[in-house]
Order: sequence, then C-alpha cells, then structure tokens
Amino acid sequence: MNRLPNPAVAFAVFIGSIIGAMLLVVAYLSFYEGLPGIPGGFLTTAHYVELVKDRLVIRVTSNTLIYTVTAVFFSLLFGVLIAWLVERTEIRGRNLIYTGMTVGLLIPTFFPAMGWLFLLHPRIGFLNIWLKRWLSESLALNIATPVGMGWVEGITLAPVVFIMVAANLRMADTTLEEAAKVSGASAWQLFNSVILPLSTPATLAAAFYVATIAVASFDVPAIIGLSNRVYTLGTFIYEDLVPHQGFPQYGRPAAVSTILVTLGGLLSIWYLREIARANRYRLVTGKDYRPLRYPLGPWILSAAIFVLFYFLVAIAIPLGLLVWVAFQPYVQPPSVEALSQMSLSNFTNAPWDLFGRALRNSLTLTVAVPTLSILVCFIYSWVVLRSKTRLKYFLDALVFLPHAVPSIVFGVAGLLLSLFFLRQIIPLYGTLALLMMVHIIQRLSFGTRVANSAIIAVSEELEEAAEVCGARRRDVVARILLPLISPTLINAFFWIALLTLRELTLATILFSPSNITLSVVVWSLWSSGQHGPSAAMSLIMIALMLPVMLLYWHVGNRVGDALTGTRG
Amino acid sequence: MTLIVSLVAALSLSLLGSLLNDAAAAVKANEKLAALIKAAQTEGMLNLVWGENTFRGLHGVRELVSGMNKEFGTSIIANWTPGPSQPQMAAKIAQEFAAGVPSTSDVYIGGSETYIATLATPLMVLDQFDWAATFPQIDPAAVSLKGAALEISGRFPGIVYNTKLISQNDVPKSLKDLLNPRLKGKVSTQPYISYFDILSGPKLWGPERTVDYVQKLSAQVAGLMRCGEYERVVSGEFPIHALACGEGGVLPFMEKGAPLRYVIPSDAAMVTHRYCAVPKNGRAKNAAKLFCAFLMTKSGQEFQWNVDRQDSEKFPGTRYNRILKELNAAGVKPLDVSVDYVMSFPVLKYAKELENIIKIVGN
Repeated sequence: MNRLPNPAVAFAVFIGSIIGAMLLVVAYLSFYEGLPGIPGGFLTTAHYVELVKDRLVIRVTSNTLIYTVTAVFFSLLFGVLIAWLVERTEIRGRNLIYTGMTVGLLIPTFFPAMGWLFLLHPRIGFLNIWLKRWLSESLALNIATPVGMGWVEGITLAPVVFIMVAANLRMADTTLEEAAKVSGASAWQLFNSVILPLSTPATLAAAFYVATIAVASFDVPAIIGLSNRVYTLGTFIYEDLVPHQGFPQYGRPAAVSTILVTLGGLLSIWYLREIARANRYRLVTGKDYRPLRYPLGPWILSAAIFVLFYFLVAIAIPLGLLVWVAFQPYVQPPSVEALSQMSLSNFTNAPWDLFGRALRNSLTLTVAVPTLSILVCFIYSWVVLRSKTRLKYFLDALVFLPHAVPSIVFGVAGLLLSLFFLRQIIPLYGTLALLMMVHIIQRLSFGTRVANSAIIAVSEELEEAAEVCGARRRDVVARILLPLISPTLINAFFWIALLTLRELTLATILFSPSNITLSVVVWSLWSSGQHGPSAAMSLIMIALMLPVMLLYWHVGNRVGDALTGTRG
Repeated sequence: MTLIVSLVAALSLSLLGSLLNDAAAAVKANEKLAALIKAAQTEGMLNLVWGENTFRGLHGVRELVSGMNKEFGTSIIANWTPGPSQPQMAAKIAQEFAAGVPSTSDVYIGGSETYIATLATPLMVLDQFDWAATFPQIDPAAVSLKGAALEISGRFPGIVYNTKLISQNDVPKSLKDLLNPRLKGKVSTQPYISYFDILSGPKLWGPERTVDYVQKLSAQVAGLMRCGEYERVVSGEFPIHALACGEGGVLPFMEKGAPLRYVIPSDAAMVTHRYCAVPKNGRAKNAAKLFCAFLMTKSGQEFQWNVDRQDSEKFPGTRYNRILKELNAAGVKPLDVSVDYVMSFPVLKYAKELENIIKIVGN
C-alpha cells in the first residue's frame, strides 16, 4: 500500500528530474571540446584519455586520497566528540560552544589556510623557526603536505560534522544506554556498543558529506599546496577553469566530475543498503523518549581542554589572523614594526555601496534557500523512507549525486541550462532566482541526508498508532513527525543558511550585477590582492551575523528542548 | 624666380589642402563624436563588470566615469559590479552573445591578448569601430582587429624580488640569472607559467629554447604563486617571483615600504597589453565607446597610472612611454605583443606544454 499522497511522489520525481538534467549537462560537457554555444566545438572522449595519460594523475589521486581521509578523520574527531560533549554530557557553556562552532563557518577558508602557512611553512613558519632555533632542525613540521592540508581542511569542516551529528544525538532515546548501564557495561562498552552504533547514520552522512567537500576543495590546496607544487584534485583542474590563456576548458573538470558522480552513485548504493536496514538505527520510538546527559566527573578538565584546543586551532588562529590583516596595510608577520603600521584604512576605504547591495542579496538567499531546501528535503526524504514507490531508491541515489560534482561545474551546468534551454520558457538567466534554484539543488544532498537520518530515527509505530486512532496523514506529519525531527531540521536550516551565506563558486559563475553576494565581494577583494579590505569585509560580515547566531542558538535551543523535553 | 614662386605656391596650396583636409576630418570627427555623445547620453547608464584589481574597483570606476562625463559633457551613470576572472568573463560574454542575451557588462576589459583573440574567433563578439575617425588622439597602432579592441595600457612582465633576502650580487637582471645555483629554492613562478608561452613565439625565443629554459627553471623553483600575491614575496615565502604580471601590482607594496624591487629581464623584454572592448550585445554600446576612448585621453592615462600603476607605452609622456625609451636607449627592444601576434602561432598549445613541465618536475 502506498501510504503517501501521489503529489508528494510527483514532486520528488520533478525535483529528481531537475537534478538528472543538470547531471546530464555535466556528462555532456565531459565529452565536449570547446565552449558550449560557441561554434567549433565537437564531441570527443579526449578528456578521459587525457586523464589516463597524464603523468600527474596518479600523484594527484594519491595526494587527494590522503588529503581527504585526513580531513574526514579530523573533522569527525572534533565534530563528533564536541557534539557528544555538548548534547550528551553536562559540560558547561553549551550555547557558547555552539556559537563558537558556527563562528568558524563564517571565516572564509583562505584565512585559516594562510594562518597555518604562517605557522608551519617549511621555511617561514613562525613555529618552525622557533622549533629550529630552540630545539632541533629535524623537528620542523611541514604544513605543505597532503596530511598537513588535510588537517587544515578537517578542522574547518568539523563544524559541519558537529551540526549534522548534534541534533541526532539530542534526539537519542536512552533506553538502550540505561539497559547497558544496568547490565554493568563499562563506559567504553557503552560508547562502543550502544552510542556509536546508534549515531552511525548521522556520522556516516556527515563523513560522506565532508569527504565530498574535501575531494574537490580548492582554497586550502591552492594557498598551501599549489605554492609548494603539491597538487590535489581542486588545484589540478584549476588551470582549466581559470586559464591564463583562452576560454575556460570545462571538459576535463567535467570528466573528473562524471567519474566522481559514478563513485558517488556506488557509495549511494552502499548507503541505501544501510538505510534499508533502518530499523537498527531508530532512536525515537513510541516506548520512551528521554535523552540523558552524563556527568563528566574527573574528565571535565580533559573535555574542556579538548574543546579549548579545537577553538584555539580552528577559531582563534584564523580569527586572529583575520583581525591582524584587517588592520594592516598588507599581509605581514607580526612584529613591532608591523604593530606601528596598524590603521582603520581598510574599513574606511571599504566599498560600502557595493557591500549594501550584496548584503541585500545575501540575506534574501540566506533566508529563502534554507527555507525552501528544508521543505523540499523533508518531502523528498519522506517519499524515500515512507513511501512504497519503486522509484524511491533511485530518487535517493540521484539526490546524493550533485554533491559529487564540484560547484564550479555544477554552476556551469546551471548557467548553460538557463541560457540555452530554459530561456524561452522561464527567463531565469542572471537572476537571483536562478542562483537560489541551483543553491537548493546543490543543498539537497546534504538536506536529505540530514532529513533521512532524522526520519529513520523516528519509529513508524508512532505514526501508525496515530493513524489507528483516526488521525489524518497530514495531522500525523504535522503533529508527530515534524515536531520530533524539528531540532534536526532547525539545525539543517541553520547550516544551509551559513553555507549559502559563505558560498562563493556558484555565486561567481551565475553572477550578474543584480544578484551579487557578499562572498563574491570578499573573494573579489582577496583575489585581487586586497587582503586587508577583504579581511575587513569578512570581519564586518561576522559582526553582522554574530547577533543572529546568538539569537538563533538561544531560540533554537529553547524550541528544540521544549519539543524534545530535554530542558534540564 | 618664377620656378621658386611656383614651388612656394604649390607648397602653400598643398599645405592649405592638407590643413583643409585635417580641418574637414576634424569637423567630421567632431560630428561623429557629437552623434556618439548624443546616443550615449540617451543610453544613460553603463553596466560594468570586472575584477577589483582593475581600476581599483568601485572607487576607481566612480572617478573614471566622472572624468568621462567631464571630458565629453555627458551625465552617464555607472553601475559597477565585481565579476569573475577575465577568461570566465570572456566566456560569459561570448556565450551570452551566442544565446542572443544582452552582455552582462557593456565593456570588456581584458588583460591578455588571448582573451581578446577568443572573443574575435570563431565568433566576432566585439563591436568593430573606427576609433581614429572619431577620436583623433587615439594612435592607430593601439587599435587591434579592425577596431574590435583598444590597447589602453601596457605592462612589462618582469622579476620581483625581496631586497632583504636577495644579496646585491645575486640580484637577477635577466631570466638567465634565475638559473644561478645560489637562487635554487628561492624562486617562484606562476602555476600557468605566464608569459613564457609568449616567449615561445616566433619573434622571441621559439618553442625549443623556451621548453629547455622552463625545464631548468623548474628545478630552481621552490613553489608556485599567482599574480597579485606579492605579499608572499614580502613575507619571504618566495624571495623571487618571475615572471610577474607587470610592475603595476608591485609598486603599491613598494610605496607602502615593502622591501621589493622590480626588474625587466634584458633577455625577455616584452610589452603586453590591457584592452578595452565593446561587446556587440551590450545594452549601452555608445556609452561604452566613450568609456574606452576616455581611457586613451591624457586624463584617462593619468587615471590609470594613479589607480593601477600602469599606462600606455604608446601614449606620449606616460611613465611606460619613458620606460620604453629608457630600454631602447639601453639597447633593449621589448617585443610589442599584439593580438595578431598571439594568433600567429599555437600559443594555447605551448602554454599547456609549459604548464605540464612546471607541474611535473618536482612531483
């Protein structure tokens, strides 16, 4: 029996079709030589052949793998543990930690990258100079390695993991934990046998998500790796996309994207098999729902040091650098001479008119994109997890795939669709609506992973019981399912909002004078060598967002706690 | 005597004729200019899109458009927006033209001959205009592709180094000097090995010599950085960078006291250009032409020097014009790189080969 109204399935199929169309454009680009729309282009397999023949590919692949695995490891280490400390222990300052984690997301990634380069560059890194001077030459660390870059990427991605995992942990039913404790399980057994397996879907989803970000990331490898000729995928395809001569070449990046999409598809099959066994991961059932917080006891100091260490390396260092650069005439290492050169000129000479225009667009996107994304994701995940349609596995695999495509290639696909195919039907080209649409499509993989893990955690017996008692399906959804998963959706909303606010690539590719965003203004300043004004703009952006974030955590926590009954 | 009188009379008549022709041309130019100004004024607004590093972004555009309005007596409003990189912007304009959509920017500013070449073939996306007929101050030598693009400024690619980290004896004066063993591990170059592709052309080193040199240079190179990242030379991460995209990006650092110096290599002297062009699918093509033409006035050149530290070597009295004369006096004849020149040999193929060398050596 199909328990869902057909419109929901039809809507999911419609969304799936848009994703499919964009992926087809990417695949087409991978077989196309030349600039689409311009005469002289032709179909070819040369881009794939080039990938096989290129002597650098093996090195780039191994670098990218090491870099991605390192990034995923550190992002999970910090993200999952801090989420657990905040949600499942009696650690103090939860709101402060939440705020700190999200401040990190607002700092453009090139600042942490530069900060770590200044610290651990093999020649000029402060820390290396001190280590060499005071200890031993051999003790010098080198950040310009795949592992070093993975560390930087990992700590910048930890907040993503944190947000994805925290809500899931908050909703956890503690029946099994209490049973394990009563049975005499040690703390490790409890963690290893109960807590860890129950948070597997959210952790897996987070791991996939950060892995796909890291694979094609550009900022960190460009600033740290490129300068030392350590190539990863992002920098390998960089010259094709922003060439010094001629038009951008989308063929090879699209070929890489198509391979990644295929790998993403295989990963999806595995992920879907896990979902098929979703009963194992149900945290919220009709029997009990009473999350528990553990006292940390003697571990309180270690936990505090762990969180503080993360804040130091992931927030304080890049934020410190941001402040330092914002007040300097040019980027230079701290010194007495540099201190005397500090001034407000980067703020007073900022392009305020442009900032205002970009702020309006960014705020519109920051509200509209997460709202619509969450709505779409909820319906989509509901169809995948609660319907009996045969398409559901295909739809779920499809929605995950856009995440495997680097944003720049996806942006080009959106541009081509709107310019050459949709223009006669809907004149979206160059509008804020187009940017919004592509943003939403790209966020679906994240949003549906989060929504999936939240819906999986809620046993169907709750909805079945309500239906047996005569409740209509929409009431069941509105009064049982939605309230139970709302903390997760609120968190996803907030993360998508932050991601939208700082997103750069799509905004650059699909940009027009009427849809420019703040991140484009900041990047534009940075990439033209105006690092000081760029840092100043970033600081202003953070200052503007900080009250909003504090308000969010205050309200969000109250709502979440009230709905889940965890206030205490 | 009669002969002398006849000659003088003939000369006078010829001079008068020439003067009358000039006057007629000037009148005609004035008429054309007046019509252009009128049409531009009707358009009213210019949509301009380029990076922050061109004309100092919003502040620069305001100053520039105000100067243009003063020069031509117009009251055109400019709406500037920072845009993607120049090749991406060229691709965007070309695709918009192919799709029949108005151009995102009414003016295209391109810092490389190849960007203009891509907008000229296979589709001629740029409006071809007889600049000299309307603006007599424009040197015909500064006009490319039958009026499709105007050279608005030049740049001499060169070597930038940190004076605190490179001893006087090791200061490189040519590209050959960069192969000095004492400089090993101190040099950086660009990931796309800019300007070496131009060196590969028939009028400079040719492909074999360039490939040989880049292989040797690659062994000296400590890493790669992009143009505009000169803070990395200031910080000492890379004490030397070559080839840099002109002195214009380095001078602001030097003026703030950064320990940098710029050298034009004696064995690879060339002058490349920044272009102003008007897309055919622009909404305000007349205003765009006034904008480009203003950049080729004395005020426009002064403005470019003030904001970007670059001006045209073809415009008398400019700094780059003086640098060119000094180089010539020292026996160095920089190649005047033109759009036609880069279209005369497979520059994109050479660029790709050189990029691969710099990527693979050390990997």
